[in-house]
Amino acid sequence: MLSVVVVDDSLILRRNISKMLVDLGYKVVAEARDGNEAIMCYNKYSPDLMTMDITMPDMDGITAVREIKKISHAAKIIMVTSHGQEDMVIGAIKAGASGYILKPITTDKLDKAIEKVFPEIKMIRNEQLQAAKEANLDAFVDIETNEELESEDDDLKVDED
Amino acid sequence: MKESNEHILSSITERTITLLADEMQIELLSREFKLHFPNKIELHPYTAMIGIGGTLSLMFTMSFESNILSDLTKAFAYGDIAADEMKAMKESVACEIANTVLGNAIPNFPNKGSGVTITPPVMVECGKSISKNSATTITTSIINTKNGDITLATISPENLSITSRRPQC
Repeated sequence: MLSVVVVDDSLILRRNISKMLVDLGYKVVAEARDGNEAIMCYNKYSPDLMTMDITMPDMDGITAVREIKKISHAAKIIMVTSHGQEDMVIGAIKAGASGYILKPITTDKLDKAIEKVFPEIKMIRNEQLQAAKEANLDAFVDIETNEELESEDDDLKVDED
Repeated sequence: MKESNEHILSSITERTITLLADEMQIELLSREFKLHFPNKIELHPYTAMIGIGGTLSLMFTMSFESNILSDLTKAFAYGDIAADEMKAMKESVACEIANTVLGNAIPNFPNKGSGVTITPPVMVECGKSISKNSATTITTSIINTKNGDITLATISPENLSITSRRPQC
């Protein structure tokens, strides 16, 4: 399970993104309100992924990405951005961000953005889905087999009469 | 320059109407709006404020009646909101909507919004009104929804100028 830190100065967006991530099966280890808190959270939790707002007070998202990439070049960060911030997204990608999501955020957009950063997640999910399908199929066969056995029992009972 | 104020607030209001009606399915009483130049604005219970700087110099406020902000908060939130977190969520949604519509409207500002910067939004607490003085212009528009009004306003110097230089970063 991927560990994620959600960075946004907006309470409602932090809450929405965190709930969506949990519903998608990820573990939200912390939330941060600005770039400085994001760096502290990165040092404390070493998350697999961060979602990062661009415009924040004190330290903006682009500066935070630059600082976090100095700590670990392997850090994976997805920017959260609005229409009209295209220049800033380019700046963030140059600073080392792995991708971006355009507001309004939806579960589907979040899911696809994470799959782009971690392509192996899609593969693992497909394998899990296939395994689940096969398990269901086995269960279905078991039910049929049991029903057949019960039917044979009934036949035997009839014969006994 | 009155025209600049009109241009800027019209761009923001049009974007707000699109967001509310088309993207958040809020029922508007009308998509039409008029601009006013009052001496004083009466604020609703929830007001977000953002500074617009760089090549422009003005303030933007977005003031919400409580019921319409409750509707917007429910539409904006993912999942249910507990009663004890509703007030904080409403304030956050007011800021987020003001920030979003302003950010989206900037490309439609004079000079395509080149060099315009905005501050993070803040909430006005316990504010009742904003009054102009001789050196300022207040421009307002009102969006009427089924569940209450939203008043948008810009407060600028009387002679709002648009500088051509880009701000130094």
